[in-house]
Amino acid sequence: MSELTVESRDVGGVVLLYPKGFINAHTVRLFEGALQKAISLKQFKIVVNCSGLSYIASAGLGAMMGAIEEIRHNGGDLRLASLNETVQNIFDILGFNHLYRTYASEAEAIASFGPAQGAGA
Amino acid sequence: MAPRGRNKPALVLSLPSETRYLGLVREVTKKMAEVAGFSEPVAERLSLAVDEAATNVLEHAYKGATDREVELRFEDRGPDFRVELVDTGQMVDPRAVPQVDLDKFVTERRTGGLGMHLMEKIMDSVTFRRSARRNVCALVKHKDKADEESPGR
Repeated sequence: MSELTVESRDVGGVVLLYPKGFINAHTVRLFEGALQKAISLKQFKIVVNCSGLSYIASAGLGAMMGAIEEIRHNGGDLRLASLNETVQNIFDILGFNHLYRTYASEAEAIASFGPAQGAGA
Repeated sequence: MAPRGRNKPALVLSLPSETRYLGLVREVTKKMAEVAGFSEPVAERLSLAVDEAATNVLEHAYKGATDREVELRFEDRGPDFRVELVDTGQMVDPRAVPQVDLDKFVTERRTGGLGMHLMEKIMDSVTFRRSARRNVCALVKHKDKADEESPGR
């Protein structure tokens, strides 16, 4: 059983990342790599669909923190969708809800970036 | 069932200092917390705190060395659930890590200290001591009515 896989796809200029499994200090490099790949391709509108994410430790949150400045500096954002209760809880504990916009569904997160080719909100 | 009022650990695990075992640390912690009577959401949070403590040991005390051991002691003290992590690595003072300031995480790209912050938010007590060339990190969570499941679980 794989501990983490991260698939990605592009929808109208928004990169969707699908971490499946858990993100901790052991698996974080894979997640970090997916974020960095999007950045290196100048795809700065990123939605992390967390529906398959069972758990995230500080290593994973650190990976997002490490990428967010460059993403926002380039007019993009990293937004999250479909957090389960455990992950939402971790976000609440850390106050990450003030730093990241979260959405109940992937569609809402994508729509939050506005029409394709448009500027990020 | 763990004897009440005694300090005998209910479970002691010795694990290699490899991140691949962090998932196991989390699973075992969650199970032990549930056995101690915590609800699943609370047990999840406790498992995160212990994951973070173990990660600290691997990254800071052992500095990534994978040929060492981390000992975990789980203890149900009745009113308290206690987990100790013991390592023989370098003495580190996690309190030396600056307090987390979320705004600075964005502006200064600081990502350290998050784990410590989580541990302190989740647990009632997080203490570190050095004893016989060993580092001992003790995490304690008090039980209360809201956290407990029905007796016997």
